[in-house]
Amino acid sequence: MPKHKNSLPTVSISNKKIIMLKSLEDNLKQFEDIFQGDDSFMARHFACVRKNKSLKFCLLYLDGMVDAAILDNSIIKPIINAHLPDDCEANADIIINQVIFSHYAKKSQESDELLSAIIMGDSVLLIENCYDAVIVSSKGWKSRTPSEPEGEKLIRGPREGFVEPILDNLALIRRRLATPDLKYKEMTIGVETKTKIGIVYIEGIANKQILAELIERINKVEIDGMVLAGSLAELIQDAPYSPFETIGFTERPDVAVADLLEGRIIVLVDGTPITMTLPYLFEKFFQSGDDYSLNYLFSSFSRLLRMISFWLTITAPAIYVALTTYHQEMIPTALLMSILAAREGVPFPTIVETVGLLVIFEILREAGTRMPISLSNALSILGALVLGTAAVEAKIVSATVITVVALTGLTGLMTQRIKAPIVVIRTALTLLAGFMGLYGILYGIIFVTLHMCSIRSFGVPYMMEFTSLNPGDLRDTALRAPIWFLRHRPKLVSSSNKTRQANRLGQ
Amino acid sequence: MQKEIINQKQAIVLMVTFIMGSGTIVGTGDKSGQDIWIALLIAMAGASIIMAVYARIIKLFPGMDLFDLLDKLFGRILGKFIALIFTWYLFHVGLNLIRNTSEFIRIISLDATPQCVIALFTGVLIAYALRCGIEVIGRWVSIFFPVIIVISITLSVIAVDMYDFDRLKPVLYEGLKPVLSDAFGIFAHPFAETVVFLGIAGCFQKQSNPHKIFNIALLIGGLYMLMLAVRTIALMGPVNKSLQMFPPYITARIIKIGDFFQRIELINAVIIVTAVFTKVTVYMFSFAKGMSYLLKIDDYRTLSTPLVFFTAAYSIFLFDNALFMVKWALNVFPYYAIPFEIIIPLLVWIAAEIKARNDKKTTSQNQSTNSSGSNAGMQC
Repeated sequence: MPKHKNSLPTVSISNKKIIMLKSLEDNLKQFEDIFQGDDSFMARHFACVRKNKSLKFCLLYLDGMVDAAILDNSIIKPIINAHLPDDCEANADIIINQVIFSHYAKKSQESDELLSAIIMGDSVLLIENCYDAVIVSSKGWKSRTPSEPEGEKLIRGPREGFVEPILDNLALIRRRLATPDLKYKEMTIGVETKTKIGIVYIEGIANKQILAELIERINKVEIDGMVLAGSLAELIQDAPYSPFETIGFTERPDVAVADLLEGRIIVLVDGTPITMTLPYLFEKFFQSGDDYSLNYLFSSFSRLLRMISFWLTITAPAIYVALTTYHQEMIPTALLMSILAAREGVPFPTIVETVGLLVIFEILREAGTRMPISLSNALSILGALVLGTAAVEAKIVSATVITVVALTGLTGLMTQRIKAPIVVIRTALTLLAGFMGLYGILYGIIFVTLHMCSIRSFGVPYMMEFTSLNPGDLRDTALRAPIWFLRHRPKLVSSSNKTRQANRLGQ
Repeated sequence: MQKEIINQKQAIVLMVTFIMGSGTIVGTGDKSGQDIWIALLIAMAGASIIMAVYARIIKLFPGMDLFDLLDKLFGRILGKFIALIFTWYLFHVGLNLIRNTSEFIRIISLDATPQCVIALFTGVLIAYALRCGIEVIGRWVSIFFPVIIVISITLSVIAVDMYDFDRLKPVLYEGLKPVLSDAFGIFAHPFAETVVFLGIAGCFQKQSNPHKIFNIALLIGGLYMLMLAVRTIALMGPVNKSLQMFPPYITARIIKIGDFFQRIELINAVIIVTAVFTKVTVYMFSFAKGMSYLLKIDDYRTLSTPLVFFTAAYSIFLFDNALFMVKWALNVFPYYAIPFEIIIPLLVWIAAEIKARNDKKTTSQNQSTNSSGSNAGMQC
């Protein structure tokens, strides 16, 4: 691939171009040159025979990307059977208007357009003695049917999840939002992959500044390929060095629609069922789609539980280290006795013991995440028996530390979506607790909360709802008030249109 | 650089936490014994007057902090001179507060840890806070303030059957003199220390009412101190209290629920460290602003980190020991602070009134240029 010296830092692509000529053979030769080495490239010759002469056609497509039935019935069959007037010159317009049975057919001479059409599964029809080629829609590759995403299950939610093709995902959203205000802006990223990116928002509800900022950031991305939504998110999100994510991900169309109604913007990435939602604020980590379909008291309780879990999972090992190392007086005597008895004979200092076990737990988790199900029995035997029971009986670690780490792990599993910050903060706090006891933890927490307060997601403060000092703003963050109290969209996230429901309370 | 703005609620909360700051470490003076609550009330009354002056200065020239104002009112040279003196005060008190924190932590729990380690950690934290800026601190304190309030009220409530209010008697047994002396101490420290907020007044939202900020902060902060003082006396009595180096902290040691929750004074340490951290940060923020004004540097952030570390390092040599530190804070500081807390603000106030009146007389254009200084950024 030739590289241009004067071009900007760049990801270059094949610069072969097609120049459409009059002769079918010449045009075909150009296409064959470009797709040389690709055996799935097919050229089907056929002709429409008339009284005195026959009009030649050639259909180009990539095998496996097209639906053969469409080619047979909508393109080849009508053309062969066509009754064109005798004096008719080969003309793309006539073919499109009178012959082809297809919802999408377009004439073109543009090299890029023709090539990408073939690559994306459409077919190109070359016509003898004609400068134009006809692009006919014939995409026929398979995608799976929408099924409930494994990672995001709801008790009382729909059983549908996003799939890979971007337009199927758009359809899943649109089916739930019957308004022409739902807008879909398509962009492409990736010089080689030409991945489609779809920005979905509701006009009049989504914040225009955020939308403009998003489009600007996506335009700045210059990369060879984009396969995952996560890597795009990392390229365009605020505070990229922070472990906290400022762009959310979801696989559920119902969650995406709820986000759209709050004024957020959804970004679909072709080829992945994961969609991005933004702006993404901290409280979103603790919200689940189920919260809105279960009883409000129970939902509030679950949310509080998730928040407590978050704080427990980052502080539990640190507090254990601090209490046993520096502040034994705070532990009630009976408990202190049992901790001491358990620690008897254990050779390591508490901090080493705790950090070591935390690392082992993370190893177990990582091993379990991407492991075939058939091996999970072996993992649980190793984890539970060898590392748990045997280590305690061999006096390598104390039973108390195992309990603390188990609590940490359990609460960590509950707040799976904040995994990255949790691991970083937990380790840092545990080490700080080893240095400075509870003061170390306190300093660490102050540092972390300062950091969280300093982050913004597309201009919206990350901790906005928690720092507003207005108890009313907690109605959909720490708690989940009954639906009729949730009358307004979140501030700053949405544009001026704030009211969601008619007033039922007479406020 | 976009101008940082904190809204009225955040300003109030910041100021309340500031007032709660060091009173919770070294306590509030012990000359008046069980009459400390009277001293507190008198101090609050006095503080409301001087705070009205501070608020008036901010109100006259909204969107400007003290250093811009000094330049405008007293001209280049005299303005710089006053700014220099005031910056020294900010530095010195910031120094004291870092020392207070590290000394407190060292004495209470980490007796084997070298003081410089604690000072270093404190320095890192403050430097980071200053890097984030006052807007972030305003948001941050809004998270921690409710936590602090809930913890302190809970601590006070669960101790309720241990209170012995007879310890508050006899009232005014030794006359008014020791009470007034303590009242003066409390006035200077912490109430009138809010003079520091003149240094960051430029960050207050334009629409906010400085009188309201100061008054509400004084009320909540004062009530908090009152609760703390009464709790300490009712739990320990004046004699025991005067024996302790950190009385408000120690009171939590007595609190006990059943046999399980005992020795929970470390929870009190959460309040103390948070509040003092807020206070030092406000001081250091003002200090960095003052220095950047004196050295003509546009962004205070370029200076903040070295200044904080310099202060943290210097705090280690400031006092020989903790006793000296507490003595200085209770006995010397109130007099030392008079020029900074009373004289300079009064001078600025008088000059500001005259200037504002002249401005009004000459043109109304000045007003409009003043008020277009800041653009309201995103607020929460």
